[in-house]
Amino acid sequence: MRLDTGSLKLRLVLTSMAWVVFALFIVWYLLISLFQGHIEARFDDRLNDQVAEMVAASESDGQGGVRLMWEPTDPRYALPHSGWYWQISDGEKIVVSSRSVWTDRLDLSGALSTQKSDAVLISGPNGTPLRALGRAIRLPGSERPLAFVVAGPIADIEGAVQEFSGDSRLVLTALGLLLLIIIALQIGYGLKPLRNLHQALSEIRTGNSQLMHGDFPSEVEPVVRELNALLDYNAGLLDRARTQAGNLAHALKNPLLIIQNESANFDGAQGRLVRDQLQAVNAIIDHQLSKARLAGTANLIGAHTPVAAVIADLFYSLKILYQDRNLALTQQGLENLMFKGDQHDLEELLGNLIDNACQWANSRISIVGESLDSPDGGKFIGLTIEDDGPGIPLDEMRTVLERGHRLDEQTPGSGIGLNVARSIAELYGGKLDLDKSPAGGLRVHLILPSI
Amino acid sequence: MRVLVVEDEVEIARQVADALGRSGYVVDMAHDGDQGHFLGDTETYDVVILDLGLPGMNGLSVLESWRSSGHKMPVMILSARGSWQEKVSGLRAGADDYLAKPFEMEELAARIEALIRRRSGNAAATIKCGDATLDTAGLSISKNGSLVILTAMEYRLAAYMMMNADRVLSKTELMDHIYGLNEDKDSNTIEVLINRLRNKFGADFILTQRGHGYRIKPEDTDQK
Repeated sequence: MRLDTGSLKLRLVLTSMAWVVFALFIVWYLLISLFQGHIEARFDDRLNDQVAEMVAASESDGQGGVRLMWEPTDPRYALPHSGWYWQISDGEKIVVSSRSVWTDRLDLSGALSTQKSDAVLISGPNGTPLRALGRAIRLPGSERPLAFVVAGPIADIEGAVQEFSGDSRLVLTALGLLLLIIIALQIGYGLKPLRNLHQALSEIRTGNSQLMHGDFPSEVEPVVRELNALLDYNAGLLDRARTQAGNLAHALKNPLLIIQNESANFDGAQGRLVRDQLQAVNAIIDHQLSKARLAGTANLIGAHTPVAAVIADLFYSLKILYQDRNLALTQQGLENLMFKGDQHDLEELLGNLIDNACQWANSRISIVGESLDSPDGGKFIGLTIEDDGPGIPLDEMRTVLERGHRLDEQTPGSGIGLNVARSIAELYGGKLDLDKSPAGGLRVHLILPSI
Repeated sequence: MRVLVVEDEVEIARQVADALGRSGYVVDMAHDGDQGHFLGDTETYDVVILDLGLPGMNGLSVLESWRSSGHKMPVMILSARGSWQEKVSGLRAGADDYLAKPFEMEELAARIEALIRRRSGNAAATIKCGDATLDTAGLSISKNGSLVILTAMEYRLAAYMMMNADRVLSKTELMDHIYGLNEDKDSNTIEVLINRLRNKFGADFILTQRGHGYRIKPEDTDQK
């Protein structure tokens, strides 16, 4: 399984979790080793003490035997096979042993020393593993050294270690969980400015805000400042471009209008030539200025436009502009459509298309909207604009979208309108297709990006 | 019919004024937003032609100001920009039509005429009052099918009265609509013109409502 490491928080939590678990495991292991060593030392001390006591209590009887002045009082030495044993032997036979040894014997040959020595592990009566300590002592009045052996059950040590291990595991697990919770909280707190950054950006993306607001820590603040500057610059750029296009239009159109009006007095071929050329110049200016006004993808951050509002504005305007025509403009399915782009661009795009439909329609123009989702997760708006006019012959639909082409020179603006509309749609990565409506008129299919 | 042309390009204003003058309109001109706003605010016009790119107060503010102070005259916007954003904001501000530059004078005249007709509630290009028929496109009035020869002033007065045949028109209102800003207004001329129209269309073509003014004789009363 591959974890999604795309989240900073997940990365930090996972790495922290790894080292916390590792460190706690090491600590647990060390604790147990230390505890076991400590318990064993205590156990051995006790065996040593017992041996010393036995040696002190022993007295040679002069015939190679031993007489105990007193016996160890611990009742466990009296209980047969209790796990606790002592035994004194002279090499071959047992001289005397605790009652618990019963009929068996402790075999500690080879591990005997006259000095205080380490404990050894032996197998006792019944096969129980024992920890035993022995010492060879020559008592006064005895010619051979006697082997003093004391043994206790390993199970006692293991039991204590296991109990400790269980307890410490519980404590360390609790500590680990506590640490992880604290780490998660700490990471969440540390990464909060990034979440705020995301929030501020999405506010801009959805158009609720023009700039990024909020307090950001010094590491994030420069990013915010730069982004704000960029947004500001973009907006200014668009404003300047539109103002310039407007001024240019004003500066060009007025002289053009004056010349056109004066040329109305020219007769014959000369007048026609001037008027034709003026019309050509005007078409070029219109085309270039409409392109210069487009925001397009340059100002995409935060740009979003509700389609229904734009259509409402356009319907209102077109009903006034075409009020003598008695056109029925209808729309459906536009309520929740949100165009990912500039409002003026959408106005220009739909204005041209619906205006074109109004020019040609007999009585009805309809707009139907729907939201489309592409398989790769992209969101789009589909719009179908349909009129009941004469339509365009199928073989001319391709050429009508070419730049500046007009099907009918008598209806002004029809060609350039469709052409501009297609340019805008494609600028946004959308699509504009033409076909015939069932009523025989033109049907325009438009696909635009949505948020 | 009285028209105000608000256009900063003097040459265009003159051309528009000439063309409209030929169509029988009385034309006043303003060359900046403030003057245009003042004239529209204080004088009576049947139509205003308003350029949006004006020095001083811009065209859109002029229009908004007129509408908010209750002036309802039809306003046609002229603009060099021709963007839909501008069309929408102009029409939302209360304009009645929009014409992008450059335009043919014939189209401007036809649209102005349509605006005036719509304002007077007459969708058709001809208006009939009794025997008389007004043809706003041909700038003529005929009686029982035959053309009546009229001077420019006579046509203006008769056309305005026929378009407002449903109400009594005061002498002041009539003067406001047939005289330009800089023309000498003489209230006696109205009486002279009324008499001449009565001679040409019949004595009961125009009724005098003493103390109120004049009106075209309603057709109904004739039949009762």
